[in-house]
Order: sequence, then structure tokens, then C-alpha cells
Amino acid sequence: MWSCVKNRKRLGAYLDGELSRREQESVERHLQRCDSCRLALSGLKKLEPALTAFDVPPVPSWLTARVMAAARNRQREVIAADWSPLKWWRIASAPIQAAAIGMLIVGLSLGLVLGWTSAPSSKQVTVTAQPDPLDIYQLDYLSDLPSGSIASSYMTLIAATNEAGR
Amino acid sequence: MSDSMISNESLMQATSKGDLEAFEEIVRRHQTWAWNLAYRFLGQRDETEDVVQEAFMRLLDTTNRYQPSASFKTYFHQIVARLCLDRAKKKQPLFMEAVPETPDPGPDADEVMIRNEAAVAVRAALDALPPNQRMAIVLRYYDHLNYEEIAAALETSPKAVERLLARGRERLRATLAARADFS
Repeated sequence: MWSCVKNRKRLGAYLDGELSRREQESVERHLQRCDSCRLALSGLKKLEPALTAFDVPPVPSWLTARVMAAARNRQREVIAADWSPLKWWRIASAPIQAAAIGMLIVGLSLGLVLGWTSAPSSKQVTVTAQPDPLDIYQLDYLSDLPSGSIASSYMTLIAATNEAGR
Repeated sequence: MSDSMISNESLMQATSKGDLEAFEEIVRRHQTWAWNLAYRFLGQRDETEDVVQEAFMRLLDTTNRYQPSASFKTYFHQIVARLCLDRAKKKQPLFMEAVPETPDPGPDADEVMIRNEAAVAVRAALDALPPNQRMAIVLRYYDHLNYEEIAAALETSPKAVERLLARGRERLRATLAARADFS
């Protein structure tokens, strides 16, 4: 036979239908004999209607939109943070991998060829002097003025004038 | 196949592969009970908004860890309950006297006022419970979960749930016993 102390502890589970059949029968046998426990059970039963007298405001109409906006942002952040060349290689399909290898080979080959052809040559280079284009005018800057030339006559005139003026 | 026939578990698997339409369907299906649970536990709109949004974000972040063998509702209950409990533990107790609204005069004004006062009393009684007891009471009385399901949500045992409910009920009875409409 269950004592009141033991029975009171199981009243909630009895009310919730959580006891085994044997335990349920033990509680019911005790309740038949115990006014105090029947009163306690009655008190527990009143809780449910009291607790449900409690309204909840409706779900805000914007909640789904806000959650989805946050979800899209989160997805973008995850994609950006999660990317790595190795991960890309693992998820790329075989044709894309083959194309990437092909492009790498072509790029390296082109770089080698261009580098090879533009490298400076090791032969000695002979530099030939180009003729001075003014030589055809036979200009002589350092010797005396040619006799009979206009420049010579001018110089003679100036020298004579200076002598006369002294 | 109509959308209603797609299981929550299938939607979670689709979400784990990046399908946000599947995730939106999960949000639509489960936002009401998640909102109700969080509000009944927390009692404040702004906190409920934060917790529900965070719960869905946690769900999104963990889709690749979700095992289809586990019930989705149990899994999401766990997330919502954990967030509510964390929020309650961080919060300083704030004792506020919620003044019932004065109803418009009318034939049912007295009834409305009594109902409002009862709601305030229940809210105060729930808020006075320790967080774990409060969550067990909310999951039992409002979500009608059995002890196994409550134990899974609270990550404890059914026996511990029985004890939490017994203590929670005792405190609620003591708090509400003074009310004429309760005894």
C-alpha cells in the first residue's frame, strides 16, 4: 500500500498518464481511501484551466520575411568564408578540372615562349658610325675666313672702321 | 506531390544542400508554435522576437548536423528551449506589475476584466518559477509534450522531468491558491 507521501509525488504523473499500469492501479487504490490525496488531486486538476487563461499575441506578419532575409545573408557569408581553391577543386566536375589544367598548361607554355624570344642575345654588336649630314655643306668653324668671301670682306671693313675711329 | 506531403526531415535535408525555399517552408510550418512557446516562457514580445529569429538561424546553421532519424519537432524544441533558458538565466529578475487594461464599457466588460486579471496572475506565477520548472510546465500544459519529449527538449531524463513538474505545480498552486477563481 502506498503512503500519502509517496502517492503525492506520483499524482502529477498519474494525471499526465505517465505511470505504468501497475503504478496507476496503486495510486487509484490509495485515492479510494484517502480524502487528503483526493483533494490534492482536485487542486492539480484546476491548474490546467487556470494556466490556459493566458492569451498569446499572434505571430508578427513580418517574421517570416525577416528570418528569410537573415537566412540569405547567412548563406552568402558562409559561401564567401568557406571558399578555398582546394575546396573548389574537390567540388568541380571532371570537364571543368580538365579545362582548368588545360588553361594552366597553355598559360605556362605561352609565358615560356614569350620569355624565351624576348631574352637579350649574347653576340657582340658592332656599332657603325653614321655620317654627319652637315658634311655636305663643308662648314669649317675653326680656320680663317676664306679670302674673297663676303664674311672676309665684312671683317676687313669693320677692322678698318675701328682703326679710323681710334 | 503536394508541399504538405514533404516531411520536415526532407525539408531539412534540402536546406542542408542550400535550398532556401525548403527552409522557408520550415519557417512557415513551425513559426507559430515556436512563437507561442517562447512567448509563454519569456512573457515579452521583443525577447520572443529575438529568440524565435535566433532559433531559426541556429536551425539553419546546424542543418548539416541534423540526423533524419531524430524527430524534427523534438530537435527544434531543443533549440527553442535552450535559447529561452539561456535568455532567462542572463536576464535579471524584473518584477513588474502588469496593469490590466481597462476594458471598454459593455455587457461583457466585467468578464473581460476578470480574464485580464487572471492572465496577469498566471503570468506572474509563471515568472516566479525557476527557469527549468517553468519550461517543463510550458511544454506540458501548452505544447502537450509527454515526459520523454520534454526530457529530450530539456536534455534530461523523464524522471527529472517528473520532479520538475511536481515542484512547478506545487509552486503554482501555492501562488494561485489565493485567487477566488482558483480555489
